[in-house]
Amino acid sequence: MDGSTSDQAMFQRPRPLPVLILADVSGSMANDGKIDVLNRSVATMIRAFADEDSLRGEIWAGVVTFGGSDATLHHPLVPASDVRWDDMRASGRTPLGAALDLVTGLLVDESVVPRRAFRPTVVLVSDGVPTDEWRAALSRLLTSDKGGRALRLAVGVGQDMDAEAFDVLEQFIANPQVKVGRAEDVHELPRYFDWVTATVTTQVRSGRVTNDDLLDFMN
Amino acid sequence: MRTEDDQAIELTRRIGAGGQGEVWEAGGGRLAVKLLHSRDQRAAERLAAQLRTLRLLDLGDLPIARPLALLSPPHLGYTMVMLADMVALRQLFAPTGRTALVPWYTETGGLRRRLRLLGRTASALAGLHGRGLCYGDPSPVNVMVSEPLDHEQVYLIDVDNVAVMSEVRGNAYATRGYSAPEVLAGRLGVSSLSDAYAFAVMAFELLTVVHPFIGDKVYDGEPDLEDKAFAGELPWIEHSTQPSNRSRFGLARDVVLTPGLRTLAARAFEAGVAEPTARPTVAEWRTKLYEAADLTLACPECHGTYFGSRATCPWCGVAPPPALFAQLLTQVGLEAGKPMFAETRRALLVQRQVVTPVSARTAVAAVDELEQSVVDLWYDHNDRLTVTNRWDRPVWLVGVGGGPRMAIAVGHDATIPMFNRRSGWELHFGPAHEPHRVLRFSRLVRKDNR
Repeated sequence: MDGSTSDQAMFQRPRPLPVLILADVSGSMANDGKIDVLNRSVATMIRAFADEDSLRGEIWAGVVTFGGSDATLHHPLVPASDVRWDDMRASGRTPLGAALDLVTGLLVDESVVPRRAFRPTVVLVSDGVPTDEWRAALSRLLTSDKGGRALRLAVGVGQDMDAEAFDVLEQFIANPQVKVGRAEDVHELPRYFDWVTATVTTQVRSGRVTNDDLLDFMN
Repeated sequence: MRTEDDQAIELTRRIGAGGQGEVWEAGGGRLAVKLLHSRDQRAAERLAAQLRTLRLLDLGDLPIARPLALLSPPHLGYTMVMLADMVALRQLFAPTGRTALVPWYTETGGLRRRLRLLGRTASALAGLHGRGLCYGDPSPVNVMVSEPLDHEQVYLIDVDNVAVMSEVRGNAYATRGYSAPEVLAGRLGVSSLSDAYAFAVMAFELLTVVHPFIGDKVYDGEPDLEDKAFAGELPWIEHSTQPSNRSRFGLARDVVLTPGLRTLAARAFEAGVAEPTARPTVAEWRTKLYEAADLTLACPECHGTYFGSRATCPWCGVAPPPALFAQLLTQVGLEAGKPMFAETRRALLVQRQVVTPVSARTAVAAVDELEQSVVDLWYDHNDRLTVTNRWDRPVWLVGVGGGPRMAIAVGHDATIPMFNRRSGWELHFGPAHEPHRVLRFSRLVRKDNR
């Protein structure tokens, strides 16, 4: 049977690799130009993600901000090449718990993170101690299926990071093999995001990332 | 960035990225640079040794990037010779964004160009295999092809995996989706047989626009299931007896694959999954790919190309253009002054008002990497056939059954009137007293639109 095949034929889309940035936009992030450097770093990273051209994987990026009195979905999770970057603004408190719950809700929602997606990466950026009840929210994230399996990375920015604040980030990572990033000088932040970019692009190129791969990048 | 011999290198454009590293264009397009991710001492020593070995190998005229120099630390990588106006074959594997599949397929060269580019890729790999070497990691980002649609060069880059046969490498970084199952599992290193597997995946995927192991349940399922599929633990999407992993995606298989190509794919992806020696060789692929390309027509309406066996253009439904059917025969000798022919199952189509080049592959059964035309055929509106001799020796036009005989000298052409029902013409690629190949022309008659 001959016939025109033109209209029905579909092609397979690459598997999404979701990357969620969890960004502290509390008032203190306005100090020392931290929020400006963070904006530039994340925007640069998302552009690098958009340049990745793999047949098997496509990096999706989304941004959750927490500041003021609540967490906000600043950029929904979409293919990185579709993101039109909008700068984040800093003000108010540090409601990490609300942000974690928002992330957990996004990760379990199959209309946001499809079942076929690669393991998500969640990157937490903060410059201080949370101001809300975050422990229960973190436990909900870590016990959720996708949240627990996610590659969780975190970086502390600026001079105000104390032991308590770093401890929060360590509990978020919950993996002794992954170290908390430290950007005491805000200008070290872009380097951290370069590392995140390399880690994520390696995953999307090879389809997986092992602990060994991670160690390769920890320099 | 500098090379070990202290040449400054400026990277201009990323050509591709894989698990092992990235390939960049440099030196105004005359160089490419492979940058490896890994920077440890072992990887550096392995690469240096590999490049030393490669320089000793005789790669003849094979279209394979010769390595030039190592990069100096802290970078790990090397420079290689690059050709201008090449893009990664990956560009022809899948559209990006919301493009419609069929127009994109045609705009990127359609079926015929894909068959021919794959034929040339298979030819290059066969050249390596014939020298006792394997390529190691054939993948859509390692095969470069001409960017202009009217050119069909291929060029293999990323030569640092070329080997006689590799040891099992713990951290085998062969490209996801193209590694042979035994390499992926770490049972065996790379070999010409793993090359043949990777090539089979590429050929099937490039032509049909669907990966042979990504059936619907793999596509919709979690990544772990895809790992299993790539390891060969699930049946391929067109399995002859196990339909559990069919795919709704891609182009209709019978539109873009001849029965011969489907047979090769089935051998590679059924018995060939567990048993490397059951896979068709890249030379078998080369033959079937070129033969399939020889039987394509170009639609005058949508410019898509398709197999002449179809009643209408599969891309737009329009009736096919007029064409001649040229059957390939071998004149094996003369008996009582009459030529004796051995028939082949090969033919080519000569579409009206389209230059049809005939290469040495057809004329003398010789492998010709460049597929250069030895004669051009032109079938015109007045039903005449013009043969232009571009070869280094004469060819002969002969009326069927010992009719008139006309030599066409080197650099000349001749035009013959075609064709009533009882007589035809043959094109002989050698003198009558020697065995040689023959094309016998007849009009391609269409049962369906008479």
